[in-house]
Amino acid sequence: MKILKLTAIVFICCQLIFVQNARTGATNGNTLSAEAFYRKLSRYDKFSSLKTTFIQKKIIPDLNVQLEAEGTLSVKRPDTVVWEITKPSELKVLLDKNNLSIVSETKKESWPLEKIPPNIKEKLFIMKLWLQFDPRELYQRYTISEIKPNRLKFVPKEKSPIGFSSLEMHLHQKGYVSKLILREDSGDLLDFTFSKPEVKP
Amino acid sequence: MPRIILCVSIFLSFNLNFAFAGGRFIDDGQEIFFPKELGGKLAAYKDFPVTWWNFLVWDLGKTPDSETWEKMGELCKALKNQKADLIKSLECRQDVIQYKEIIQDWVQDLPLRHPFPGEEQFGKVLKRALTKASLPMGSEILSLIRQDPFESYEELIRLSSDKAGIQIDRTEGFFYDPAFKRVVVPVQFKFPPERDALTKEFTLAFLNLCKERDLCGRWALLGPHGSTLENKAQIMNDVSNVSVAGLITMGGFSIFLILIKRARLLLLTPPVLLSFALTTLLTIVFFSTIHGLTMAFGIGNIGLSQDYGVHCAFNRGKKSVWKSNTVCFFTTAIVLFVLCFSKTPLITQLMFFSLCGITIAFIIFWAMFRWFPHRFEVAPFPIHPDPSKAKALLVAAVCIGGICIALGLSPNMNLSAMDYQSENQKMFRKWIYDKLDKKNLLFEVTKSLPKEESAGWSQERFTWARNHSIKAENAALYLPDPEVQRQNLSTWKKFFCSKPEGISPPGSLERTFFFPFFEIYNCQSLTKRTPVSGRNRGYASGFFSQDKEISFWFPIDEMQRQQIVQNYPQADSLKELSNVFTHILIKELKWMTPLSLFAILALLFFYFRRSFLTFVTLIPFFTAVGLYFCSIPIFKSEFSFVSVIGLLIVCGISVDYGVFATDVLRRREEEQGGVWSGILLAAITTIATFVPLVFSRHPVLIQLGQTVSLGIVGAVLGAFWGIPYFMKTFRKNSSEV
Repeated sequence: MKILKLTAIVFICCQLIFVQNARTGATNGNTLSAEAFYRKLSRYDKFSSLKTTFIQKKIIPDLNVQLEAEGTLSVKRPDTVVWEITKPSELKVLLDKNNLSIVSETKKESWPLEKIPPNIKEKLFIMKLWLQFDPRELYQRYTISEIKPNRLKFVPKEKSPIGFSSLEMHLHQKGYVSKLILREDSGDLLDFTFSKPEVKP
Repeated sequence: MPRIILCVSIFLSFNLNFAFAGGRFIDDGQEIFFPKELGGKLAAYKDFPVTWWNFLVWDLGKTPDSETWEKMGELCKALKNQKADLIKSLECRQDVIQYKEIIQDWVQDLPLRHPFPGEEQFGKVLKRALTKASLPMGSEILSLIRQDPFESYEELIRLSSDKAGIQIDRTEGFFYDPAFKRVVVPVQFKFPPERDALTKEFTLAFLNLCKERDLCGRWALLGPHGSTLENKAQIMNDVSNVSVAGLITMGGFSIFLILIKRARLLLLTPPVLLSFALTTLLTIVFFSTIHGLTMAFGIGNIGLSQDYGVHCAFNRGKKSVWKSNTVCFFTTAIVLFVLCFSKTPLITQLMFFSLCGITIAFIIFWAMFRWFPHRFEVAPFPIHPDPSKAKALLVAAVCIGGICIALGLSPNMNLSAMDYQSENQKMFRKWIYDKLDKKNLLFEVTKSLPKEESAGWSQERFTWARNHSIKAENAALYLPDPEVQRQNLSTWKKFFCSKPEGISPPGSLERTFFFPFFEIYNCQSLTKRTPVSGRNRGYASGFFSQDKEISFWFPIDEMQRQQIVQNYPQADSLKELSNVFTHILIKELKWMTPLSLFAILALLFFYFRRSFLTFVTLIPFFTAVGLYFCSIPIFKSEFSFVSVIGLLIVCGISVDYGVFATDVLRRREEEQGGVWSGILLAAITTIATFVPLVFSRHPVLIQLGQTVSLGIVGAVLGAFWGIPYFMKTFRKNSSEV
């Protein structure tokens, strides 16, 4: 269950990174300025809740396999996130201000955040960071560049506690995040494809 | 004869004996404190790896922040890596990786523990595992899911965490008490507690890592390994300090003897050394090993024999000397002989050692003074006692006061008297005791049984405990009985042999991803599997040791405890085992003490043929014991079985002084200086030998030093101030003496 907890939190954290940060524009190939970054993700500037569907793919080069899952992401500001996988089996991860809960087909578990080990809490901190969307903090943590039009690359300025060597974000021409590609330190690749989000102001 | 020199010489002799014995004949275990059967149980208990849990406790000194928790995580990781050969388990955080070694066995044995869940359920399990595996995670966790899609490791982690048995909440993953800012890390070693050198290696590594990270204030290792290390380390420290003090005193005393032109007394050392060496060999021949405590305490008893040599050296040419010496020898030998019949092997061995020692020394001294008297005789000091009523009243007061205090004492006769605890240990033990939920455990050890019976033995106990709502732990907690294992296994075999590709055809995602799982779970492998007992399984092997198996019960109240004892009379508790020593010792002292005293009285009466002289001879004994008991409330010292052994030494010496003094006074010898010189010099050297022990820190050494030093002072008071006054008074009142 620890594995599930850890991976769920890391994953939600990653989602919130790209969900809340598709704002600024950038000069192609160059580092984005803060203002440009904020403009790119203006769709996510002010909302009370957000819902979107996703398809996630995990490519494990060592095994030459690709694992797929589908589900729904719900965000309710200021600090509630629900990451719900529906295929291949049901798994729901809920994170609010004080607790983390994981619900599967067979069991439900819940932990107060204060009982959670610090390495996992660190990931939760990042997740909260994205939930609250502090652009200065994000800008401080990542070097953001536009490698192609509407394609942003986030490189951690320091070694990332969530174990990703890089994050790539694709923005739809309508301004929402359509894809997020993460490369884990182990070499595995995570590919998340998102539909247009329902955003409530 | 300076006993300080004796100490050093005996110390050297120790080395010779050790060199000869090669160390393999020296026993330092605790089994010798118990009758054979019970000692075997205690030794057996300590043999099981499941009993090798300790608690590493330390104070942070401040409320920890995230940086502190991170440093503690690093410390644990570094400690585990550096000392992986010593540590079986270090429960810093709830980290699944720390169970890596035993998870493989656990996963492989799933078909023995549970029946096959059915094809549909199996399919769902694989899907669930794939769902999780699709999330971001480290390679080690991914590897775990690949070999264990059923997540059976969760049950293992829960069972392993419960073993720690500590009621403290986890904070940031650690057992942490915020009231005291105190961290507890359960640690299970890979070696038994006696291997204290390895425990020391571990504690040094911990201390270095802790200091590097500026994390540690006070700390301690609580448990069998921590306790053994502390005791041995303190004894070694104390022995070194005492040896240095002894050497210095010896040197000074030797110089003093040379200056007062009585250096010949130094020649009385070798006989005692030789006697000690021969006695050690005899004891090893008779008992096959010799305990360290026998050698440590036995020295004192053998040293009694020096009184004979000193008495002869100062009383040149007196034929009556050896009569007195012979009586002294027999009065001491009687006590030692009676105590030889103790059921406690340590006491039997100690008395055998002492009896042989003084006998051999006595013979050697007799031979020395028979054939070479002029080489050892020295001029006595011009000492004569000056008895007075006041001094006699003081002697009487000491005797009566000692008796009154002794009647009100509750002696501590259990093994805790042997246990040294540092200040940190005392403080942490007191704190952690309330937080343990396994402190009143009962255990049972059995010899090896055939595999089928072995599983039945543990299963029967576990099932009985479960039916009576009593918590129990043994191999059956992890594995069902062989018949159930067989049935479970057959359901898995049936599926995997009939539908090998039903769920995951070759080339499918499931077959590829869960390849490590399917390598173990296939028709061929499952067909070869047979029920197991847990002995060779990493997760349950702690309950087995050589040819034995152990089972535990954890009663929560007296009623449950009684139920267990009624149904399983062989069940023991550690607390009760250590009390066995106490019960046996008290029971035996109740008949041995009066019998010994009676035998001494009888012998003295046979020698002196006068009741009055017989009782007067015992005055130094009563003042010795009296002064010791009078000192207990003053120094707030403890009366334990170590004190009893010290009083044995005192008994022998004080009766000797009494015999020498009574003999010389009843004969009305004009030249009395030799006897009084002998008594005084012997007393001074004995006191000088044992007083340094009082300044050590181990309770055994402190109590021994206090008892013997004060006892000798009391004996001298009785000999110099008591006997002469009462002899003089009696002569005035009676013409028969």
